[in-house]
Amino acid sequence: MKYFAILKDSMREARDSWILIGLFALSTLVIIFVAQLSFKPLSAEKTMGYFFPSDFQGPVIFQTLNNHKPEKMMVMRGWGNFRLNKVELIRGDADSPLSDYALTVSASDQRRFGFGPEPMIAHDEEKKGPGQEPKRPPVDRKAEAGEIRKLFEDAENLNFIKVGGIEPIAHGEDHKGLREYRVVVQGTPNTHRIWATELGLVFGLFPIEFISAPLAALMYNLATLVIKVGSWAAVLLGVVITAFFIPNMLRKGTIDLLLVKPISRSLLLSYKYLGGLTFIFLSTAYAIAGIWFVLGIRSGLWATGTLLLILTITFFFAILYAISTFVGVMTRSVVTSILLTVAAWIAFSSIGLTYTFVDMIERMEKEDDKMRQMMGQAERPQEKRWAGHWVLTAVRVIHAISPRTEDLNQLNDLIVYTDFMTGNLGDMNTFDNSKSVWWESLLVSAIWIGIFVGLASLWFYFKDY
Amino acid sequence: MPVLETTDLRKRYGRIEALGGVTLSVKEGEIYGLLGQNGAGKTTLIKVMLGITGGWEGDAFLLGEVAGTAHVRSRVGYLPEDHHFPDYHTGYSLLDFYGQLLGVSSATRAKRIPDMLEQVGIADRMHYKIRTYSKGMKQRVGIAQALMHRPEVIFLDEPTDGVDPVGRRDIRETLLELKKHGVTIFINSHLLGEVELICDRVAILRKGKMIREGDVATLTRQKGRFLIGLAPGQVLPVAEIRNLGYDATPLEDRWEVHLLDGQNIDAVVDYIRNKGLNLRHLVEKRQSLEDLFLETHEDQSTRRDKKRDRRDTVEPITAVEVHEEDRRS
Repeated sequence: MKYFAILKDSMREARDSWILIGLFALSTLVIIFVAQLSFKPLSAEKTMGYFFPSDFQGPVIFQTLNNHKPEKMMVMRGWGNFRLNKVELIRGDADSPLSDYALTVSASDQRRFGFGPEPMIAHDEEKKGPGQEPKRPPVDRKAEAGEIRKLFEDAENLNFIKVGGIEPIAHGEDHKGLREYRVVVQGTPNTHRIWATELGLVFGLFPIEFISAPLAALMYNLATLVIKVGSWAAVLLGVVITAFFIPNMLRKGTIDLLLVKPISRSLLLSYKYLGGLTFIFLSTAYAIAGIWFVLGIRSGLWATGTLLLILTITFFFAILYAISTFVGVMTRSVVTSILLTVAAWIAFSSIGLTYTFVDMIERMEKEDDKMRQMMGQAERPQEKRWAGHWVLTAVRVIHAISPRTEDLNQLNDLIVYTDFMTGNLGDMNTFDNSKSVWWESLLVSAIWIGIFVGLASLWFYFKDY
Repeated sequence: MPVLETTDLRKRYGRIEALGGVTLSVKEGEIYGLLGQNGAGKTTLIKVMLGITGGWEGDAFLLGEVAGTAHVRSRVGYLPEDHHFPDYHTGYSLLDFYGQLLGVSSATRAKRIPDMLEQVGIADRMHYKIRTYSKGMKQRVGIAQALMHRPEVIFLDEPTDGVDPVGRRDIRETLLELKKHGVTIFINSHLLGEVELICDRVAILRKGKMIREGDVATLTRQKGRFLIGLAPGQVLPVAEIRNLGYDATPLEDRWEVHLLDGQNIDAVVDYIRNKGLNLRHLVEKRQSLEDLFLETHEDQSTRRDKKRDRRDTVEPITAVEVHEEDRRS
């Protein structure tokens, strides 16, 4: 009962400042904004086109499924040898994710966008001698079919699609040199997640033609944008609102009336701390659950795991609120609490971002080593390597012992991403090659929360008021 | 068993000695007033008893338990001097919040809160935000919150501060009613007239040390100074009284007799009767609590004369009572 009394008191205090109402109003506006969005499925041609590179970029599906693997995105394969010419329906409804389709794919000898190792089919210019006609070595059609299959490999592994078979198409003398393949693809219950979808405003009245992507990618980007910006705003507002809680409680004439109640000081402070967390939990739950619900209704994609963000965002806030509580108890100043908490937030985020950058550099160096080996190039000299550099080691150590706010951001991102992609959070490791150990991040952060709240309690316990 | 008891209670704030060995005892059902200048240690004493301040030395017991424990605090009501109620609360919600912290059940709170606010005279404003209350109304809410859980002991730090005369009277009556029900009340106040009206006993603290303690009547009595009034037209033979060895002085239509050590007013009364004079008025002079307080605090050598000029409170008591007092002393 005492906990609920203090929680209710904290809520009353927050409500009195109107910031809480502003926060809920803002969340409601965001939910309404998301609710009016429409997600229109596009054609099978558009969807199957995502498996093939365009003149300017690699396959959309590849980029979508490797979104969290920057090393793969940076060191791209030579994609530019296949084109999707035609999509025919062979079973089921037209433009349905559950139908089977036959794709006609042509192989080109020209290099297009892409860099890295050898292209799949060697370029003519590289094979001809000076003043000679290009020498066309006989093409291994089986190997070429294998290369086409690789375009579907990631999606097939994740059961987004099944490739029934890839057969070379025989052409007459008139089309000598044209190499085409018939690729049979079968839809799965997950195919709708990668189906080409167009975003529209006001329940589809205003389609945004230039914003189309696989449904899961569209949803992920949308949800990430809304949740990231929303949670950032909510946490910042939460820091401001809750920064008043402790100094106000410790005001002369107010604290006396609380300390004479039959409740221990450490419990009083803990309840006040939990009251602040509950406040953020409720406002986050309202916003996340609301966004989740309307996104589910509008798209048919129920990313239930996204609701976990209610807990992770609350935990993120718990770190900051522990600092705010500690500073509030020590200084009894609202302004100091806000400033130092935000400063700590910036510091922890900077450490986290630096660590992420360092981790990415190391992963890219490893990927580069692989490429060099494949291409028969010499290894990168040690002095040109970042891996093992003392600066990186220092960053790792600092990151290891600091509160992991940035890790939580990345965890949130990965949860949303995985949930929209496959709907199974067990696939998180499939999408993420970073060295982050999430339980370790949570544990280290929880220890810091304990340290800050513990120190605050200790000070509060011995302080004369 | 005393409800509140301290023995050689000491408390320091760094180099400042707030309490320098206070020993006192308050009985059940007593209204006890603690007087002293700002910084004398009155509030510190209450804070020690309630556990708001720790790190003290000596003994301090409240309701038979070591002072300041959570259990004993549930049996105590408190109104601090510079209270600051969260102004986002209404009078009702504040009492509800404190009631929950005190473990008062929901049903009891629902019944008792309106009653309490009615008792202190702000029932019609109980659902208004506290920020809209006047100082006096806040004080009334403070009294209500201190009483709502029916405590056995109540500590009130300047309870009538900012309250109008009618409100002060209401509070006095409330406290006297509580006393009738056996509640022990401990008051810190600068309004000495108020203290004098309701306290059974008072103590005066100075620089953390108790310098006077006793019941109000005894402390304010000016022992050995009597006012004598005779029937109309009769005159006290001052010269003859002086010849008897007593110091007598005319004072408007009465006479003040100052007894020296070992002297007794009975001899003067007998003399008056033997002379055939009719005694109509005999009182032992009293000083106000304020005078007593000032006398205690002011420099005795330089300010005593000024203090005498301010003496004005005279309360009649019967001769029999005087005799009884003298016999006891």
